[in-house]
Amino acid sequence: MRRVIAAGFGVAIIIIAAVLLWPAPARGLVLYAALDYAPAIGKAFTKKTGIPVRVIRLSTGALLARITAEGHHPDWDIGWFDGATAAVSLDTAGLLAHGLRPPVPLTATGRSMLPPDGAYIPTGFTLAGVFVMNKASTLKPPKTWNDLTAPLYHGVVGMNDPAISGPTYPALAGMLKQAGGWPQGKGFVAALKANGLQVFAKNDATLAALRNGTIKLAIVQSSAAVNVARNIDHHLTVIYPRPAYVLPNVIVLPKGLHGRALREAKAFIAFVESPAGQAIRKREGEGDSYYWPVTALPAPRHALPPLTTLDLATLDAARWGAREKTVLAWFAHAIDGAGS
Amino acid sequence: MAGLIATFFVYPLLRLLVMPFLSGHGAAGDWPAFAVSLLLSVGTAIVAAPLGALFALFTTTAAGPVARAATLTLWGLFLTPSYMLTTGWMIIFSGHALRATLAGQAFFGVGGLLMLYVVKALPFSALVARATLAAADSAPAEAAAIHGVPFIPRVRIGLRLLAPAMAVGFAIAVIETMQEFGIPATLGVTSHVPILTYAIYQHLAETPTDFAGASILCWRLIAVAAVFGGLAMACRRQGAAIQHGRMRPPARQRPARRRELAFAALTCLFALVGIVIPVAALFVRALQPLTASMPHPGAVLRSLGFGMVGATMSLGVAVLILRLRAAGARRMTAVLDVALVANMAVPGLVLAASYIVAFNNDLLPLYGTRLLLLIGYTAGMAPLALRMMQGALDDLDPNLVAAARLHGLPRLTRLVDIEGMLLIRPFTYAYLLVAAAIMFELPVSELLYPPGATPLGVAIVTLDQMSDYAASARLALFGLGAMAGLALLLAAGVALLAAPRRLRPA
Repeated sequence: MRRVIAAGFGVAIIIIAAVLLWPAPARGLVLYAALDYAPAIGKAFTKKTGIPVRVIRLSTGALLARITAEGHHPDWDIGWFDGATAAVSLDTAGLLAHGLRPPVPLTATGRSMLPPDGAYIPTGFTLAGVFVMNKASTLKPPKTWNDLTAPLYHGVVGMNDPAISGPTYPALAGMLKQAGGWPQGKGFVAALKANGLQVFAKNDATLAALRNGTIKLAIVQSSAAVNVARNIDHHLTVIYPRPAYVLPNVIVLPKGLHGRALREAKAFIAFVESPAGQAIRKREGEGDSYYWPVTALPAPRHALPPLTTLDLATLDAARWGAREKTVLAWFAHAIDGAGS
Repeated sequence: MAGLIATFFVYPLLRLLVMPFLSGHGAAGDWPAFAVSLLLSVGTAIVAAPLGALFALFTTTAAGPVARAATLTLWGLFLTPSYMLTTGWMIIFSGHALRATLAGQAFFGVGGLLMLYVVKALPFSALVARATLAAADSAPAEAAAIHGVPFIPRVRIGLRLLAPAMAVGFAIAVIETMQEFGIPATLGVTSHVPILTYAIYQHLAETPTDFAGASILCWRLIAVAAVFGGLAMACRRQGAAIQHGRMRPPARQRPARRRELAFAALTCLFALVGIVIPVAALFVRALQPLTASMPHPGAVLRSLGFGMVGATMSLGVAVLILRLRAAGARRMTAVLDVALVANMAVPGLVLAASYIVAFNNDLLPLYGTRLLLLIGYTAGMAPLALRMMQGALDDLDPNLVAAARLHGLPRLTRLVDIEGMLLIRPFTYAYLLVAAAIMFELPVSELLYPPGATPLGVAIVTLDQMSDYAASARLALFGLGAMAGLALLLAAGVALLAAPRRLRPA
């Protein structure tokens, strides 16, 4: 009896170990994605082409950290996330393939996002930072970034931490740029801090703080803002600041990808940009489906305002991507106070 | 065995720690994070060490329900993962009304960190003090009572006897607090207080990854652990000086009413702050409906599986080392002992960071695999497993083996029916403790988990950062339930295995 129990325990451990350590089914493509419609796209692509796609969903920050940590031994074939500046950071570290060309004609806005070395392909864009408030709030809605330094916004404004939330660095870069660039724009952000700016981890935490009354105005990515105002809390309204900084979502491939994997990855990009692929992104996505396309078709979701009504601005991804580490270190020290 | 330890412990750590010298990286900043962490650790130890020593004295000398409750509370605090404790309190202060109060503002600053650190450091201080006091002699106390020594001098004598235990508890509290990652990771940016372990994590999470900067911070962490670890060892030797061959441990007796009430109040306070209130908050929040489908549905079972396999491997390594020592392989076991002791000074965060550096190459491309995560768990827990099994294996009489051979018993019978049955209870306790430590482990999990296979601790902290407390509370409670289920299963197994056999009639 004792030996049976002991043997049974041993067999159970071996089975559990085998289940945990069993190698993942080979190949096809491995997609690291920070966008919520990625699993649906992966499934549809497999159905159309027969090429298996293993989708690993991570937040943007965790995805970038993972790609960086894997370095020149990538376990991924395609990376898909928000932020051309982040793609430039990865490219500066020598991790990305070059020479990518868009498989379909892009709009003028889309073409303006293309890097000269072909390190990434834009697949759409959102806005890096918009304002979200309660409709019933007595607070006067701000129109520009400079309005936030007014005393009436003291202690009621919250934003994400750019060190944790990947799409927030471009919002910070936009704030710095409109205030004179780097390092001149530091004064503006410091003024926000002096006016009681609160920092939370990510979009969900900042919006939760808005909804529970900790803050009265949240600065978050436009897709998250529109999603919460339309589908979760109808008391909230989205205000598009002047200017509003464009945040491309991009696809990157690892350096050294070649042969069949490269062909399949390019086929995936073509599917993403196709009308069928974009229809799936709009239909199956949650917050991330609220994006503006960089192709002529299809039109964006109805909840999004026409681009002609917005004061759009772009960031020089190469310049701001190269200084990302410096800017984030300054923010963590001067504004955040946590860690380094 | 030496080769495995060299490959999975010595090589990765060396690789990480030499990086600043090879890359010419200047001295990293982060001195505020180091200074604040050291101050918080010392502050925590100043509170936790005397309290821990008093709890240790009470639980080793007192009899009665309060002493039993105090022991249970200490173990409960020890076993509760720090990020779950923090999550529970964050749920309480997540509401705007409470957050705006003085208590809420204090919680999200230094005050909250100190409170959480003291709650987690107390059981460490108490348990190491108990180990020191376990060898204490009752003669001085009895002599003082017989000679009618007045109260104050008697207290002074007691304090002198308690001093080594308090000093060891102080050193351990500083080390554990400096190395603590779960609390700052869960509070994260919300606390606005720079913490060294979180700074290391941020260096590893930024793009591009700053391994050299993280390595410099790791050196500081290890230096503090080495200084205070040396202090702990010196204090233990000082305590040993008053032991002798004819000493008797103090007999347990029911304490005086006032003393019992005081410890009852203290026990209730720590039980409330460290277990009851946070777990109740988790429970209440878990009942709220989720905004979407349950995220990370496989995290609980996956981590339970890692816990069980990792505990088996850790205890296997521990038993092998102890057997080698018993067999007289002194040089090798001395080397292994040093490696394992050094491993205790190296927190899981540093070990995991070294694995990222060491196992991301063509020769050993293990980074991003579940195998490396399992190896990381085993390397991190082997010292704990060794210490838990050491006493039990040392108590095994070597003559048992000789007697079994003389009676012609097969090896399997000796292993299962004799040694196995003598070791079954300490093995089960050690197994459950190590399995729970791995299941709820955070720093190694955070840095080494393969994408798509999120461990439980990482899932809970990620959901906390998104303020999805309902989902994180459910995961936490499912995890505790799963571990409780494993404990019951193993307890039933032990009861079956250890049940006396009925003699068949002749």
